[in-house]
Amino acid sequence: MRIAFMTALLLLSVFYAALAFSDLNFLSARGRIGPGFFPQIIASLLVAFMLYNVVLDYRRRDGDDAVSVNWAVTLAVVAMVGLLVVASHFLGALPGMVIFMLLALSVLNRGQHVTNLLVGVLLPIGLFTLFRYSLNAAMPPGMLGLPL
Amino acid sequence: MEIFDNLFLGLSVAISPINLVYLMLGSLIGMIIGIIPGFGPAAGLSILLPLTFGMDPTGAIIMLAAIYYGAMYGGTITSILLNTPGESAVVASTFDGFPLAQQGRAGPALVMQAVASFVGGTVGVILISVLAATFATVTRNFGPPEFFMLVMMGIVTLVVLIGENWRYGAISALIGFAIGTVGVDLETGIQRFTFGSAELISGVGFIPIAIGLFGLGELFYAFYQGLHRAGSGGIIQYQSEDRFWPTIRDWLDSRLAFVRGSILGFCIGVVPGAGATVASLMAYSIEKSSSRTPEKFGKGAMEGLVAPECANNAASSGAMVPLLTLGIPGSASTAVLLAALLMWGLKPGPLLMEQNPEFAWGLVASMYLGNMALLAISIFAIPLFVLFIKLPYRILAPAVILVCTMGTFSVHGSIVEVWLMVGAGVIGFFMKLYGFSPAATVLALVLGPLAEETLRQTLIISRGSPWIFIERGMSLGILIITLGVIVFGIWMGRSRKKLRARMT
Repeated sequence: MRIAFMTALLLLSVFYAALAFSDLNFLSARGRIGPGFFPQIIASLLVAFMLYNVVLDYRRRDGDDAVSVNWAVTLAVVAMVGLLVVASHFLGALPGMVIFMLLALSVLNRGQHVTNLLVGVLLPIGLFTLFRYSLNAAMPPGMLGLPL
Repeated sequence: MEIFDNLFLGLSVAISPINLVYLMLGSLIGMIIGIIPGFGPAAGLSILLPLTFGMDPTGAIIMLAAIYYGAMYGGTITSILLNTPGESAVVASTFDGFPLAQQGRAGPALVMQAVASFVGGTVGVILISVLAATFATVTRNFGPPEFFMLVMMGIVTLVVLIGENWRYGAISALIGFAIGTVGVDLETGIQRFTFGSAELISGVGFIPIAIGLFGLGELFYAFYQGLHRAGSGGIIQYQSEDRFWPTIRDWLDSRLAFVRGSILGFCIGVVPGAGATVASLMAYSIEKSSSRTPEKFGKGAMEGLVAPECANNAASSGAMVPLLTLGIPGSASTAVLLAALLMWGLKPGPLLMEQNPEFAWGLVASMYLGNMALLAISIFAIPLFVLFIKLPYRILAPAVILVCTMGTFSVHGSIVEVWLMVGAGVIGFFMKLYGFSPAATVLALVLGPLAEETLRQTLIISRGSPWIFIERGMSLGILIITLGVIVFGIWMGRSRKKLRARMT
């Protein structure tokens, strides 16, 4: 997995470098330092370092790259965070938070139905009240226009 | 006498009832953040920064600063009772803190760590009071070459001294610099890497990246490590101990450790990039080498706990000096504080103490009060924090995810920034997993625009000649210190390898 991550970073670095060198000029038309000056220096260093590391890591790939037994839970949590963002965007902050909490607790804290229900509903209400009314902060309003 | 006038001015600001409430609240929240495994001050500050938007700037910064040094206090409680440091700066405290607890001396260890944190923090604040104004006067002569060299020094120090792999550290910093170039180029007005998106014209927001890398990234990593399965069975029950308070022997053994740890910690903290982790490890190492009984270290020597605790708290105070007088953060946590200052229209730098004395000295005075409050909280509210340690991670983590997500949205009301935060969280997880340095990324992201601007100005002044960095005395001085840090880092890396080879 380390090699895959390093290769993905290398590709992103190459993409950044391609844009820096193709779209931005090192010097301006008047011969002064242009908008591409700093990005091109950074891009060159980034690609050089990434290439060196990918080669080095590929040679040492037999090292400690064992996958943890908890990878499935980690992936599930990442997916649930994605769901929280989508649900908040479409349904609004409070329903999104309640759905996320109930789902997350049903996966992570199995069998504790009463605790999960209480925490899953009361905590989002508390947080919503804190953000919306005490701190007067912006919360996702939801595209469906629910009165929350 | 001017120092006392300034401090009285600061106290008059800090002692207002609302600021005292913010101070106490920040100290408590900081301690709670410190005891959450994997969560350091940087994560806590980035997550809670959006919550301070409704406050006045001075109150908000007082609260954020209290969270910052409160987290340093709190991190040690889990080091002593659970052998799990809250973050890297308190790793050295586990070396002797946990053995002390295993020997039935958790009570004295907890009290001594609180006193050590207080002494370190207070010595640090006294030194800030004495030196910050002088430092600001000296740095008033700094020009673009010196500022560029200082930025480089901060990044190089962080990359070389912290983390296992300097190559990954360098990549992390370069990623931060690259993200920092997104948006409109201020010199020419040309858009860079915006892909036509209006949201990216003003650049990639610092807060979503910081919350993603430190908050979500750490959470994902904790799940990957199986922290959600862990119970609270490993906590040492200190309540059953006969003697809660330290003995006279403990105080006598540690008297020099208080002095050495505090002064060393402050000096290291002032160097941009070095930070509390390096300070605490160096303090431990120096204390051990100067001890008449080095064989006791690692087996429950009280001075082995006191020295790193003094050092990491003094370093946290020291890191405020370059932040306030130069506008250059020395660590990820102070980078978040810098972002907060900029958001409120305050520009840290040599003129801050002159132009905003109420704010600057109010903050310094609040740190004196904060350290006193934290000493009392650390000793008398330990049972409360133990309750938090016992709170299952599988319930705590989803709650923190909610705060991260809603906190990010509340900054600009942008769902794109929330997605950016999620993306940064996934990258932060892999960075943590493979030994990259999210702190270097965040520091480079904050300092990137300053680095670009000062490099550009420098080359305009010198008509394109890089020799200007050597021709100017102060810039040359910073360059020599940076080279010294690199040599020291290489030496430290080799020593680490030799030590590992001996142990295996």
